[in-house]
Amino acid sequence: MRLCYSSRLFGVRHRRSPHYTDHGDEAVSNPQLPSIERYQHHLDITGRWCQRSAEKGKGGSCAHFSPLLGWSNPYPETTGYLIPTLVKLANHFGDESYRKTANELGQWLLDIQNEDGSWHGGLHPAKNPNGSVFNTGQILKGMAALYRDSEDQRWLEAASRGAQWLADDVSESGLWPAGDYQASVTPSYYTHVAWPMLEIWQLNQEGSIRKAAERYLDKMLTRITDNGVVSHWGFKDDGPAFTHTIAYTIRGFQESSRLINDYDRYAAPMEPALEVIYRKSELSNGRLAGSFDEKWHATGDFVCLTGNAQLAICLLLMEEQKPDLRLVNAATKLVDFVAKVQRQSTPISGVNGAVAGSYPLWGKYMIARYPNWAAKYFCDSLLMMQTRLAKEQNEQATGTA
Amino acid sequence: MKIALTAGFDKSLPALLMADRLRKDGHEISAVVVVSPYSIKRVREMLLSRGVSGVKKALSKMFKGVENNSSGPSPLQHLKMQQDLNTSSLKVWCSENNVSYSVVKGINDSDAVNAVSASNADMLVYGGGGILRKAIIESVNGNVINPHAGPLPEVRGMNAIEWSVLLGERQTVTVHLIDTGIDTGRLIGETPVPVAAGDHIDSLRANAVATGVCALTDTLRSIESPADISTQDNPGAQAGRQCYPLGRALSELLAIKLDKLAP
Repeated sequence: MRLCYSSRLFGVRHRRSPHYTDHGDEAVSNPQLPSIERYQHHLDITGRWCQRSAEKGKGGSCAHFSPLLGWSNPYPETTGYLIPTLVKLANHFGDESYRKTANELGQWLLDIQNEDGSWHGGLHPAKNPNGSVFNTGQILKGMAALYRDSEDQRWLEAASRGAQWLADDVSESGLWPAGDYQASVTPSYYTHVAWPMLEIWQLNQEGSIRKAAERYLDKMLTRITDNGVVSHWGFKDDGPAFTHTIAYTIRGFQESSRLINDYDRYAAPMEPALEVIYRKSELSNGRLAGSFDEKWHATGDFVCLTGNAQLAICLLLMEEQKPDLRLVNAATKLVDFVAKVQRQSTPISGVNGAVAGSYPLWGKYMIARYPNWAAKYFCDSLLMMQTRLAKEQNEQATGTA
Repeated sequence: MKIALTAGFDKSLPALLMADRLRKDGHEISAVVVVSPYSIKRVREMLLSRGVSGVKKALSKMFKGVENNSSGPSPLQHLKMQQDLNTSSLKVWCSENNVSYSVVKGINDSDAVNAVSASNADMLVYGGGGILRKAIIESVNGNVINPHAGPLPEVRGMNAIEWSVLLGERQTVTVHLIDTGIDTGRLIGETPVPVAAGDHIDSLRANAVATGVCALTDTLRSIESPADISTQDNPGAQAGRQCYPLGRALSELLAIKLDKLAP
């Protein structure tokens, strides 16, 4: 059953499990701030789009919707990391249909898991069934979220097998075998794999998983350049990186630090890059360039919308450690830009509430498509932003700020 | 002292008030340099940094000047009445007072630098127009003075008085010298901006701008040479995070905070 969002905007309480502190899932308690309500509306329509992507996904969640080609085949990788978002939406809205979808997607992922614990790359069904490092990592997030939500061991068992497969493959020098995706060296955005490995380590306390993740992360620290750029943080060996993978890299470091409870080790080194992102987000009023070269020069005149939402989250994560409303302001501008260009009233259900890969739609990133991960990260950023604004609103109103 | 002055547009009331007060205090206004609003580059930059609503607001101010609102004259209008000014245009004022008046495409264009250099000004008063670069700053040997609507070095950049409230910093105007950084030049003095009961974002800003006009002119009142101005370091200014215009959500938060703050 779906309720009108305005009738249950605030005051929703939900289960919290031990071991874990997530972002953006605290109850929002005060309905006065118009922006919180505005974000709630976007969250509602985007969450519904995510559900439609699962309804059309033949078990998983469709990678994307194209106005020309319709819904794509399901994408195990992003189906995996959509699950934590769906669980948060269930808790936030008090709507069990989100939790039901999350569980169904999880079951589908269990069904297609390889014997060795990995998951294949690309869309399903796959031409190449071999395990993919990055995709397996992202699916672990879904397994972990379902385990935390239900404490059902089958999620943790699957996740543990996947994490162990990842850990076993990390070389002594801290890299995964090259050629996993488009690059010939292990990309730096695989910090977004180390993060879920550490998440599983936190749940199963398997030391070899933590050690392997840290070996990779330590290696990536050596790639940080003087201007804050992490070399090889794009899809390809050379050339510019989309803000999507820049944000993957930064977030992977930030979350890994959180999980090992050591901000200085991996998150603090991301601050120079985030300061650049902060300035560029402000100077562009949220219309952040979609890709940058290693000198922080914008390449191309388009916005990578998922990158906007992801980087807003990264700014908010830094702000959690070092409170400063200026960072929140920049994050709101990134999120507001995505909200501004989101299509809300078209008769095409695959477009309504979707978030395009690029703005304009024909921009370089995911040309003319609406990926499910853009919707996922937009939801995550809205949840986090609402929580942060509600906290500030309460503090300002009570004079404790 | 010979003083040149910049303005972001012809009907900039703060710039007009500063020019008039400085002249009445015995200084010679040797040039007024105004940036033309008819610049695609300028509108584009404004659009990027302030958004469509910000541009609309700015354009309305540029062409209409500051208007009285329903609650009566603004603090700047009060000053205008006190100073017995009967024009809102810098061009008209310059004509009436025999002051050189130039319209330039950009504040750092050679036309602007030449206008300031040719005026033999001892000091340049910043009344708007954009970020100043090295050439124009050096045209007056670094003697560029600015009333910044916030405390330095804590609150650098735009919407400073608003950020002062949001960040829990003191609400002050800081008169300082401009260098090539953003509000990183040497400090001259601070003047508090009172927050009054019923203040809202626009009135807070208007109070700060009016306070800035008075603080700057008071600073220069008895000064005969830039060397007479005592300055101090602006410690750590380069390292501090710069402020930018408030987005919607932060403006809403500020309104809540102002409600609580007003005595």
